[in-house]
Amino acid sequence: MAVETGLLNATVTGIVTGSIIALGAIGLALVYDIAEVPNFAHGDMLTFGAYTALLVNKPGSVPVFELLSTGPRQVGTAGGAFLFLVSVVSVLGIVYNLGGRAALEGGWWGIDVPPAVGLGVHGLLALAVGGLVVAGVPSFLSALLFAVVVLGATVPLMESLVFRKFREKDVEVAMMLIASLAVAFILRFGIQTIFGGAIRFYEVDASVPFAGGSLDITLSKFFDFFLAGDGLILSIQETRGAESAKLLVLGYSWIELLAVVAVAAGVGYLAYKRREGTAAVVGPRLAAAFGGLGVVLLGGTLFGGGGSVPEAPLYATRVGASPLRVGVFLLALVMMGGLHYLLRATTLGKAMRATSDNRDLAMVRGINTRRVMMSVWIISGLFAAVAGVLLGFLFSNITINLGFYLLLPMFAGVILGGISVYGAIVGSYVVGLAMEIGIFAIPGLSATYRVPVAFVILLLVLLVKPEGITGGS
Amino acid sequence: MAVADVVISFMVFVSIYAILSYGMNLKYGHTGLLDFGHVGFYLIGAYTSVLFVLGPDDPGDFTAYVIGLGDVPFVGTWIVGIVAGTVLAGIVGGLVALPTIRLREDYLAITVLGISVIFQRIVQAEEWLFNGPDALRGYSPPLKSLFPLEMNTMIGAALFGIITLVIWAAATGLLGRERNHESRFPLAGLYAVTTFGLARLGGEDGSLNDAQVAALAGVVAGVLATVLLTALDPILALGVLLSLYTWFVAGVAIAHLYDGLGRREWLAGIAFGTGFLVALLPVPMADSLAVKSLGTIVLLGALVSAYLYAVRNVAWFDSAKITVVGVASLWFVGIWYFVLPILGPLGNGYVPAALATLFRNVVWVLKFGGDVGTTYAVAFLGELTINVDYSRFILAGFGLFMGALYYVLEVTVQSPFGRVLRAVRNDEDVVMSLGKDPFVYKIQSMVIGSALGGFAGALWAMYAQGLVFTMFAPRITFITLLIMFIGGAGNNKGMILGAAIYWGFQQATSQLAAFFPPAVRVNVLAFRFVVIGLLFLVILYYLPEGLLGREEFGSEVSDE
Repeated sequence: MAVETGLLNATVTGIVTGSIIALGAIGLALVYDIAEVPNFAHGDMLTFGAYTALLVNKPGSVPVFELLSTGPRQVGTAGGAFLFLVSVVSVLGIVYNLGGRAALEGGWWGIDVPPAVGLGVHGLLALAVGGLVVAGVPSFLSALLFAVVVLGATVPLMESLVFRKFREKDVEVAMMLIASLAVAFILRFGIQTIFGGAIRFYEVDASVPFAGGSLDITLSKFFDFFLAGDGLILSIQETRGAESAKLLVLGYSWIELLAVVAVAAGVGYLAYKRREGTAAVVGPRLAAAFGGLGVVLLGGTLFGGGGSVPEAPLYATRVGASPLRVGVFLLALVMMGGLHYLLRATTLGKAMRATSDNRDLAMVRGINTRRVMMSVWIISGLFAAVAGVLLGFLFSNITINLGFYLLLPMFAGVILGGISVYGAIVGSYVVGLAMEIGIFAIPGLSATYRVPVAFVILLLVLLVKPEGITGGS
Repeated sequence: MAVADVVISFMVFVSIYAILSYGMNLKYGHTGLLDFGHVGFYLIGAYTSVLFVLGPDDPGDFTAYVIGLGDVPFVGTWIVGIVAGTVLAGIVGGLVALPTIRLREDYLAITVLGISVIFQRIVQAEEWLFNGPDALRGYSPPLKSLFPLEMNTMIGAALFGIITLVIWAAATGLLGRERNHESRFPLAGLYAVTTFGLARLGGEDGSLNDAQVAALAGVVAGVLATVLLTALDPILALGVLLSLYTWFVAGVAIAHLYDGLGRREWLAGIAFGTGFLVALLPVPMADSLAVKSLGTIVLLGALVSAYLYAVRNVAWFDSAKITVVGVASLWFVGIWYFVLPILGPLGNGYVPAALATLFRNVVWVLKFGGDVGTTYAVAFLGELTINVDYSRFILAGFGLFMGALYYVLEVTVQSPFGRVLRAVRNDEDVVMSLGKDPFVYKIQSMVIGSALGGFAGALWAMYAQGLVFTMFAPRITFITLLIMFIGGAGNNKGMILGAAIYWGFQQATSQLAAFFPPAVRVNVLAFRFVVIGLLFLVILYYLPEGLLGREEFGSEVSDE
């Protein structure tokens, strides 16, 4: 008896979609907020990242570069040397973007170091990244790393070659929008000039060793939830071809469920109260979320006694999730956590927040706003690379429009959130959930309408609150 | 295909995109509304007009659409279709504007872009509406069956009369503007002749302005041509006369445009035009792909570097930098149009064939060759088969629309209404303090601008003879923006110039792409968009006002 997927499944899919959108939207919001560029080229940056990863993942399929490769997925000595060189130059380029030679000598660290130490550390780091990339060819992770460093180095060039010039002319936001449109044209069709119109995909070894066996990360596991008279039963199973193997059945009684929920709420509330008023990395809301989630996980494991799938459940629904999708979500969380740490706990982050609040004041107070601007573009590039490569892997087809299709949901998320990093994260999940739940809940709506659903939400919010959900200033 | 036919299809594109850009220009150039969803109204105009000319849907066949009014008398015609498409696009434009127009300009841009994508997705997803993801075909443009024209029938003669009308009016209008400038030709006298004496109605004390005189002269010329064709059969003579007249006026206009140019500027322009030609030579000449692409890029790079070097280091060159490019383009186009086609026959020693080719390209009003048409034996040239094909008629019609709308828009933007629009663009508070509500004017601007987009869409539907949702990608909006910024935001004439430059580039590059092997043609066609993007950036940065600049209208303030 197969259980139908329902609202819960759409929600889970929506969270994964929201994670991808958020990864893109964070960079978009940072640049929009601090550099004041509504960057239309952001979607094409994702595309650029996805195609760049092909150089490592499938070197034989890249025009011109294929001359250096010795097989469809092998690089010869020359190809390896090329990838190594590009990675090293990219890492050094990222640092150079932060402030030229002085940055390479450690000038951006915030502490005084002899130039030789700064140069040495950056050099070693660059060599290590280059080595990692070349050693890992053609693995997916190596490709991801390569794309990340290349975009981290090239995306800030958009600022220094184009947008800074326009900003110096003191143009309106509309002009920035149009200039970024031209950059988008150059980027997108530049990629197409090299790669042509063929659809591409990554080749990834999908089975990874896991708990003694091997786990295919792209294969979906099905989580069937049954509501019965005596409680909730969760049955996890895997389908291969026609047969479906039951992996685990967990049963919870109503009392256990109630207790877990109550304790989780209590712990969350206590954590919130305890952290209230601090500006530390883990603020009240984050603490509450951690506490509550911890209790739910702990309770779920403790009370997860064996159960059996009921014959006539009151309600049954199925959620499909592959380890890959879960991984995307977790990776997004980790990256957001990293960014959160950067913004809250480092000097650079403080400078970024100050610049976002009031650029002139920040400049007067001695903040190097140019460095802040460049770091924003670098972060935007790093996040775009991750989002683009993940998107290419998740959809397993890479086309020239890959990123552009995501641009509108990203913008919707950013505007919903009122152009701030945290707002963009919330907005992206709202958009992602709206897209998936909208397609599921409204009968007769085909998948073509994903983007329109996101936009209808945006329009409705703007009608009520023209400055976005969390915006106000 | 003769070069003249390439130019005619080029001019058709120019007229459609000029009208589309008029709409964008009214919104952004005149009122300051950044509409990134302009293509949505183009889509509405195109699909709406087609519903009026499609026959009733046959449920059995492979296409499906919501309704086909083609068989309804009077309603099922192109005229009604175009009007309906225009009106509906305007109404939708107003409805879209109502909630969005209060937003910040960047929010506005992104939201309307989203709305245009929604329109496109609806067409793609709803198969019952406009055949879903597949092309919507099965209609034909108006009067298509009458072409090539049969000159011995009344209707054929009348249609050629219409073509004559448009061409004559356009050329005479241009001559009217040039007639007061110094020239070695007696322009004023010629103008009196080509306006059939109607010029007297205009002038200082006359009641008609130049444009009206030109329109009247066109009508007279059209009627004359119709009568002559019905009575006699002088189609070749008429075609030669019309063509020569246009060439003459174009020559006078160009001579005036580059009047004050010194010899060295001319020479520099010609040198760069020739250099451009040479830089492109590897494309048709070389065999290997690497030489074709890299050779051309290296040569073009050298040419651009030389240009930039001259701009930086030579004072007179810097002050004439745009003029030089203009002269270079004219020289290049001239060689491409007149010289390149006859090189082949000349190289083989066929002088009459070369002359015949030249003659065909000069007499662009007529189409040569084919099985149908009138055959003449002309001295030195041999036998020529002549007809008038549909593309010339379409061009005349679209050109008429482009010219008429230009006139109407100029009147509009110079009216008090247009002044308020510009005031809204410059400072809304001022408008408010004068007791006018900027909101109302913005909505009106969106309605008219979107209606113009819808009109262009209906023309596109007519020309393309088939619609598919991919034609209405956001790219069209971006191209419209590019056209507007090339010509100059706020300048209607600039829209025509911008469209001409954009489509000139497109046509030239597609011709070059034909020399590449089919496997890499996608890459070559993509590369030209890279060039367009670079061009866009250069224009935005160095020429934010566009080539023609903003049109300024002084308002007379009386001292009472």
